[in-house]
Amino acid sequence: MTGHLVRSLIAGLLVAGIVHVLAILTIPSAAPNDATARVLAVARPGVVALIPSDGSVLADLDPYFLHAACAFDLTGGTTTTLAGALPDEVWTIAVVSRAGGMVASFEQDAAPNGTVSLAVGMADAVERLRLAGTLPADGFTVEAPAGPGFVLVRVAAADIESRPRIRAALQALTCAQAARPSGVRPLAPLPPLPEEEPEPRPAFPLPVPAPR
Amino acid sequence: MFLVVRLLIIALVGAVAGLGSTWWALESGLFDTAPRIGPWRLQAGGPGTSANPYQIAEDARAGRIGLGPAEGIAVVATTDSAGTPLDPLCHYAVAGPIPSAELWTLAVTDEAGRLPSNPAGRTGFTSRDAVREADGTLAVVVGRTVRPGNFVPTGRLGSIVLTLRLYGSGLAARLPGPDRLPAIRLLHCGGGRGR
Repeated sequence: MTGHLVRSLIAGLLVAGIVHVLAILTIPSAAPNDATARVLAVARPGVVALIPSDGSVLADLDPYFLHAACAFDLTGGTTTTLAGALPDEVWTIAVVSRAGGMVASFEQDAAPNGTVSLAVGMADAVERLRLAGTLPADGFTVEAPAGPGFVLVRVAAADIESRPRIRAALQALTCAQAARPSGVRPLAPLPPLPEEEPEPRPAFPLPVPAPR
Repeated sequence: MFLVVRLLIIALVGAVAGLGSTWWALESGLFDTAPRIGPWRLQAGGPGTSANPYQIAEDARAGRIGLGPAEGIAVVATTDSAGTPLDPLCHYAVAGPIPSAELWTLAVTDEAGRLPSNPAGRTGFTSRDAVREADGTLAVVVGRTVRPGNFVPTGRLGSIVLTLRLYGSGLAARLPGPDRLPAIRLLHCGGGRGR
């Protein structure tokens, strides 16, 4: 009887190990309150929302920065473009996808003129945008896996006096969601290949070398 | 009958021990492999940037967005340089060199991320408002009663967490060594003026 019990406990511990590993690997995709869920609770896709730095939405944000999020959902091949002018302060941008984690990050040197145009979409949608030629020349494109995510803009606002101006600049950003791009400009036809002179074929039968 | 009981034991032990150990591993930080730089612990740089599945799970659970590689780095301290947990009843000096960055910020919070409340609205310092020493190093005092110089009153915080964020694209690739980050030294505990 005791042997059966011990064997059952050992088997239970083996199952516990499997449960432990599965739980750890499942939590990132199944956590109901991950960063993307927290942002989607306060921001609709296609709308810029200010995120307070007090930890009420996202944990561990810098209290000396103001934050704005542009939520997106790439399901169905949509693209989301964040655009606008950022203040002349230290700023950074992070693109976070639930399925892919932080897929890209930028700092202010990436846009020296302070104007940002960042398009996020699945790989084929971004490629269609490129082919359609609708992206600004100095814009960024970020490929992210399907599903929801958000673009987080952080702007330094160490001075209390500068906060209203920075807050207004963040609220003036646009976060536009577009359907799957379809109007792709057809590629120009390739120029005709130059006709080459065919090499003369050797005459048959081949000449037999003379014996030495 | 015995088979059913054995299967029940296996299922019960598997579920309780498996989920319990998961919760314990995440709560205790047992598998926290983040690099330590002196008293500072490097905060994971955004979800998905860590290879440690426990760190990824913990970040997802906490809804934490660290700084991405192009944004900078964040280091967090919950102990002083001697390894003793920071006590909200004590005064500490955060002093030493600080790496060059576009901007750095030093924030004082409790473990839940709450900022100290004080009439001055002082919750930390940045590279723009901290007064440097003559040799260019940083010296900030953190505690309950006012001290001269760069001082952050912790007020009624029940715990102390120091978070130093350094903004700049090259920092994540070249982590500063412990001699390039400020040390955290215990000055005095209690309400006296201390040393």
